[in-house]
Amino acid sequence: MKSVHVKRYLILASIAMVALLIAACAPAAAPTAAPATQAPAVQPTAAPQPSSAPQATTAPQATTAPQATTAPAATEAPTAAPAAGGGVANIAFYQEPNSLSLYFSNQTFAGWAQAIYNRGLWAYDDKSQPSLELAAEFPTTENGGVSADGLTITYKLKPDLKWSDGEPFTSKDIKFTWEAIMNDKNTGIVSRDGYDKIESITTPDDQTAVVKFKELYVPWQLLFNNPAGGGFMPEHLLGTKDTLDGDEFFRMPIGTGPFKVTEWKGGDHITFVANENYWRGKPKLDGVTVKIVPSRDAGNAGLAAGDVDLVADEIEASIPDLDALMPKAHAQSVPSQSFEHYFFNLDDGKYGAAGNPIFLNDTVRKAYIMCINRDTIAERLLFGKSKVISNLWPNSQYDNTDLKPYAYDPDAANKMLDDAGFAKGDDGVRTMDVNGKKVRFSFNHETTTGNQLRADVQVLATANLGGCGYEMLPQNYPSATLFGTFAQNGPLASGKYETGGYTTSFSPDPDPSDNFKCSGIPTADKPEGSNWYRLCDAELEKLSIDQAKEADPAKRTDMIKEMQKIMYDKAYVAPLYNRLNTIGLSSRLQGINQSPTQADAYWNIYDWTVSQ
Amino acid sequence: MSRYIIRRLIQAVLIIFVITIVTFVVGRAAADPMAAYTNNPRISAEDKARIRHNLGLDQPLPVQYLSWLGGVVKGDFGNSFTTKQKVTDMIAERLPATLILMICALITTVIVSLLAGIYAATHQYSAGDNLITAATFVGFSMPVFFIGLSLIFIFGVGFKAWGLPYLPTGTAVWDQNNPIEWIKHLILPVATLTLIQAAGYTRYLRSSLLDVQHQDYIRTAKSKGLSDRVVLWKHALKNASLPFVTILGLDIALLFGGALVTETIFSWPGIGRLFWEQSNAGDFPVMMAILLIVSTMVVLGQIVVDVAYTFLDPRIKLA
Repeated sequence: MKSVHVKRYLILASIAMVALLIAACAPAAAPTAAPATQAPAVQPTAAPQPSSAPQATTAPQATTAPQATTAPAATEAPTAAPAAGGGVANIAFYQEPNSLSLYFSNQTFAGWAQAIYNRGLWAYDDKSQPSLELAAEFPTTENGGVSADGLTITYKLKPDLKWSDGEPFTSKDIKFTWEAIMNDKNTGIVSRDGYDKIESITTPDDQTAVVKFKELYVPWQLLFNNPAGGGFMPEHLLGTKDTLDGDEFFRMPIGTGPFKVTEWKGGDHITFVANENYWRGKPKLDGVTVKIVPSRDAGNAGLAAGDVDLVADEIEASIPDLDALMPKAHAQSVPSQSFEHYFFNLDDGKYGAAGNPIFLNDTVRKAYIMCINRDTIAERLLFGKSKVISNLWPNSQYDNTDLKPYAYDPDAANKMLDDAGFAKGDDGVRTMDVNGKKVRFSFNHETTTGNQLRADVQVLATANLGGCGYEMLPQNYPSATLFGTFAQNGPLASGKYETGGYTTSFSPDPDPSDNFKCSGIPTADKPEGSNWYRLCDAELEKLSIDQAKEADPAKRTDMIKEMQKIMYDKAYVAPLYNRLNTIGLSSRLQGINQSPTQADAYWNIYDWTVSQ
Repeated sequence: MSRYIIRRLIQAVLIIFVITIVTFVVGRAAADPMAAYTNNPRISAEDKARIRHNLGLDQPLPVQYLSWLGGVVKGDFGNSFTTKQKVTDMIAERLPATLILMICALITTVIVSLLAGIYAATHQYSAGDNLITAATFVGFSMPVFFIGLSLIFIFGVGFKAWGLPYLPTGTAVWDQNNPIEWIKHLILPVATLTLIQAAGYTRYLRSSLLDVQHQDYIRTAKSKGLSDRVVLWKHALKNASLPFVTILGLDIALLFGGALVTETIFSWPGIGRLFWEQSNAGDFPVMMAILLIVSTMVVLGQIVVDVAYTFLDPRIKLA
């Protein structure tokens, strides 16, 4: 009996250990730093760079930006021709959407899945322009859609719109959707940003919804939308429910998009078939199947085997491998509006998490940028498909093209640092006198693991900076750890880092939130702030606040550009390159025209075809 | 005996209670469900505060734990933080796939290891025994992902490239009209699990069979003139099977947890993959429910194993 006892306790102890281990190893979710983890809505931007224009570091494009609230060149995509061929396209997602409604999700994949079966007022096309869906026209001051004070927006709908179940879609569904978002009983609603600024929505007739705001909300066109097309919730099915939390409807929702959901098998696949009630008519494909795969690699294996037609959210480093599958499959990339940047912890201690004091010096930061060979990154590591950027609003109408990226010039940078008195020591690393103490130019650099391009760039930057007397020590984490919250001691959120790097974007709407406000610096009292640069500059703070209150789009654009100039002159951050929206595509699937926005490929899914 | 079982069940409740506390505290420290919202400009500070409140994360940890436990006692595992679905629905959706995979794997494991273990023990130091020993060491020392990927590479990718009949490597959709296709999808993941598990089972069986073969009662049985087969199956195997039954009991309990790595490699839509995906998202209710189910099954399974000992070896008395 004794041995049985011992065995039993050994076993139980092992279970507890395993449970502990499993729990301890489980990371928190975080936005991965790839461009496709968040799902912000989009503002139309002008003049996207053609994908084959790597020379743009020297020749900025003049922006002919249509101003958002005045005259966007809303395009009405051609109505789909009578379905030719049919067939089913297989799309591989390496993340399962956690909902098919973006109102209940924070996931880019959820937004893409939603674009397949549901459409809002407009989507954003391959030129980042609004492509009208349910809306009959894009509201502007000229057509009366935007009131003179900017506080009232009128949506005009197309006639005879239908849900995929055949019921009519009316302006009441818009009002219902807003009410559902604001209903406290719907605890799963993710973002109310902007919706909480709406005072009322009235529906004078079935095709008109008048949205009245309590205060000016400049990015109004993001509401009820996501880049790939947005969508509404049907009042005739959900109007009587007390709460929508966990409602079965969202496992098998109806929508107004080109396809309708017919099956969702968790962990496996979601099946969509053509929606004959779509306003453009039946799409060209008979159906779309989203296959849930465990990784991008599994998706790529499917692409190679011919089981998959499109792999979503590829990384740039995979482009050569995908192109090696020619003629069966290849990579398709377009420059996106998100950017990769390096940055410094600029807290001098005032906010409780001081960075490395050397980076409080303007010359040190500027020389840092000049020492990194960003041209090589764009030309070699990004295959000439991206470009070096000077600011954080690339590839959009807010891009301050007067600012030229600092040229790669290690000699000039070394001279600047020598002249400033930061001499190199015997080990080749510079030092700075800070309060009588010698501080070496040695610092950690923290970014995510698991992205080959990011690792390659880090190696290159470490070598480049070494030549200028900086000692950069890579210290990388899984994205869940790097982007952990303040309470979790996430290095970026809690300021426990010296320098870092990741991808984000202030596009679609250019509002940088509180990223550059002193009040946005996360502290123990205010842990939610998103100013991870811990940068406090009075001018930037003022512009940041004022632009969000500026109704005149031209003036607002100027303010955003002014912010860029300050950041550029002071070298507060080191913009590297703009990321590419990349997908793996089989040659069988035709008609994809990716958008530089988060809409990615799906905005024109009604036009896709497969060769049999 | 019944007093023993009752006492063990009471102990089991206490053990499971302790496991839930440990997993809750450690899991909460490691995974913050709010991390998903930290870097999304679409989500304002007000949104974050509201989401935190709605998920109950603004409560002190003991309160969070007690409200979770209160729900569990009533059979309510709560709703997933990410999908908002009922946790029980999410698990129920994945359970059939996991059970099918794991039961098939367990059956093949038992068959393979019985055959290999008995052969190895009865033919000690023969070429066959050496081969089996070598194979079990390979199975023991190889990580499961390596075996899984190797099988995919050989039987999925390689065979296809060489123009041979090849096996599917990904997930299977049940189709009434085509069950064969579905069975084909099972082969590689089941083979992966079998290779790993059978290694251990075989070693245990071989060594305990060798142990008992030299005991007095075996010699007595042989001297009575019983055939080798009767001695083996009726006398030796029964006594040699204790360690075998122990790990079998544990593995049956673990059936419900699925196979995290194998399911992920083969895109199998089971519980293991659900656990992995949801723990990446800091989806606490789902993680806790799966851990609780698995640990409960393991603790109960162990009680069953202990009771089974008394049948296998009458010298063991439970009191």
